[in-house]
Formats: sequence, C-alpha cells, structure tokens
Amino acid sequence: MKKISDETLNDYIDNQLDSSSLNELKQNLNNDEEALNKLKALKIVDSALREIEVYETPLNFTDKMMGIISKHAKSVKPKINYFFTGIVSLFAIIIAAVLVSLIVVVIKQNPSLGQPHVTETVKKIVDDNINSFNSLFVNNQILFAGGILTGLLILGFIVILDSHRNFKNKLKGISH
Amino acid sequence: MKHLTDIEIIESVKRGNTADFSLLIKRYKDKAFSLLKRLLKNEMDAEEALQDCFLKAFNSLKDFRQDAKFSTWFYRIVYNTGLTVLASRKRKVEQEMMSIDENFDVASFDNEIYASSENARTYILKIVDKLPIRNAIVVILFYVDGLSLNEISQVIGTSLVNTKVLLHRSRNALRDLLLKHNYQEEML
Repeated sequence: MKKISDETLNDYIDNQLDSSSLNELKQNLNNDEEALNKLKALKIVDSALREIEVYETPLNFTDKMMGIISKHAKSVKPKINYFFTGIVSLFAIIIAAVLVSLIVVVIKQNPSLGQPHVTETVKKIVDDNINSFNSLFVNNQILFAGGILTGLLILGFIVILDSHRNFKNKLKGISH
Repeated sequence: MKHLTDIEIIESVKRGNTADFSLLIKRYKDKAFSLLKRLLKNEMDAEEALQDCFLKAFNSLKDFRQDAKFSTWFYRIVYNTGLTVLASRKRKVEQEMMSIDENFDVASFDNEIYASSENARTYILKIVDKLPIRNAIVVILFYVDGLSLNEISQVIGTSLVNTKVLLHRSRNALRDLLLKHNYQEEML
C-alpha cells in the first residue's frame, strides 16, 4: 500500500487534488489509520485557522490617516493624457508651420509688403482665394464626409460626458 | 451602496480626488492592522507602522501598475514595513526569519498554551501567534486576507513552491501538536 504523504493531505484540505488522486486517497485512507488521524487533525487546524480574529484599528483611524496624508503626502498630480496632448501639439505645430510658410510666400510674392498698404495686399490675396474655398462646400462628397465627421465628434463628446457623469454619480453614491 | 473597485478608487485619487483614498483605508485597515499586530506583537507599533504603510501607498500610487492587484501590492508594503520596524528594534531578524529548512520550535510554548486553552480551537488560535514570522504571515494572509498562494508568494518575495511549503509546514506543525494532545478524538 502506498503511504499517504503530508503533501497529499494538505492538498486535499486545499481542494487541490484531481479526481483520480482523490479516489486513490479515499481508498488508501481505509487502510491507513495514522493518515486518517492526521487528516482529522488537519481539518480541525484548517477550521480553527478560518476563525483567526481580525483586530480592529483604533477608533477614528481613517480620519487620523487622512489628516496625516493631507499634511505630509506629496500631491498626486492629475494624470496627463500624453496621447491627446501629443496630437493637439502636433496639430498646433502644423498650423503654425502653415501660417509661417504662408506669410513667407506672401512676402516673397509681394515685396511691397511692409509698406503702408499691407492690409490691401492681404485683402487682395484673401479675395483671390475665397472662391476656391467656397467651392469646397459645393462638392457633395466633401459635405457628406464633413457631416459624418461632425456627427462622430458630437457622439464622442456625448459618450465622454456621459461616462464622466456616471463616474461622478457612482462616487457620490458611496456612503462614507 | 454602490461598490467601487480598488482600481476605480485609485483612478479617482490619481485624478486629484484625494478624499477617495479613505475608501481604500477603510477597506484594508483592519486586516493589515491584524497582520502588523501579529508581526510586531505591539498595538501601538502596529498602528504607527500601518500609518506609514498607507502614507507610502498614497505617495507611490502613481507607480502602481494596474495590471497587478492593489491588495497584493499593498500587502507587500505592509510586509516590508513590518520587517523594517522589526529590524529597527535591533532584533535578530535573520533568526526570526528562519529558512524553511530549519525546524521551528513551537513546542517550547506548548505546555503553557495547552494548560490555558479550553479546547482545540482556542489552543490553535493561541499557538498561531507563536509560529515563526514568515510562517505566521503566510497563514494569516491565506486564512484572514484570503490571498492565494501565488499572491502570497509575491507579497513575501518567495517562490510559489516555497510559499506552499511554508503553509503546509505550519499546518503540519499545528496538526502534530493537536495529535500530541489527542484533540482530534475530542472533536470527532
């Protein structure tokens, strides 16, 4: 007869035995009084350990702790969304670059800039290009794509706003 | 009452809602206090160490990786803080933190505890406090805090196999003492 090991008995207590090992253990226990006694004692130990007392912290511990935290803790900086910040920065850089290059082109094409009639020159350039800008809105495909993009942006904004509101309500719902 | 997960609370604290950290304190204070009190054998030291643990946790919250469980991370802080306090008392921690290959001498307290115990349950609960530190911690984290062996191994920084050995040896030592006093006959 195979001797039943302490490890097997402990695994039995922790429900770690598979069905075949469990059957084998049950059969062997019938012929092994020592192991049976050990198992009985282990069950008592396991049951007693489940009743280990949880000591309570002194009264007002949480308030005292929060006071200590507000005095000594380093402030937790709100988490920065680097992805969002990166995208916004990229667009800002692109826009700035386009503006600068436009100004450079305008100055090169109009050496008279810097003279008193600057505003007239700029007005002329804007007048020249306003028609091509307007023509964008005549194209149905561009209007359709723009509409979809605007819709998606509004939808995304509503979803973010809603999840933020839900989270705030969840926090408020907690009884402190 | 709605129940926020640890991660949701941490997210809120990281957004700047410092007051929400009190939810984590309420959730973990008693169990962590029990662990420290058993480790340090002194209520005032345990309370002071617990304050230190929560302060460390708050200040390190930005480093907490959310793929881990907060409980495991926090109990690791508690365990290390407890050991630091012990070391500062200039106790021979190495002696207390005996390796799992050494035999521990629970039996030396046995007669006194047996004489003052009404039954097997009270006897076991008293003698648990006499287990070597690491064995006692494994038992408490397993039975009181409900951590898995894998989580306990992360808290105390040992392998899963060694953690399992620590738990089994602790239980076997207690079992042998029960058998010595024939408690299993009384109970069944």
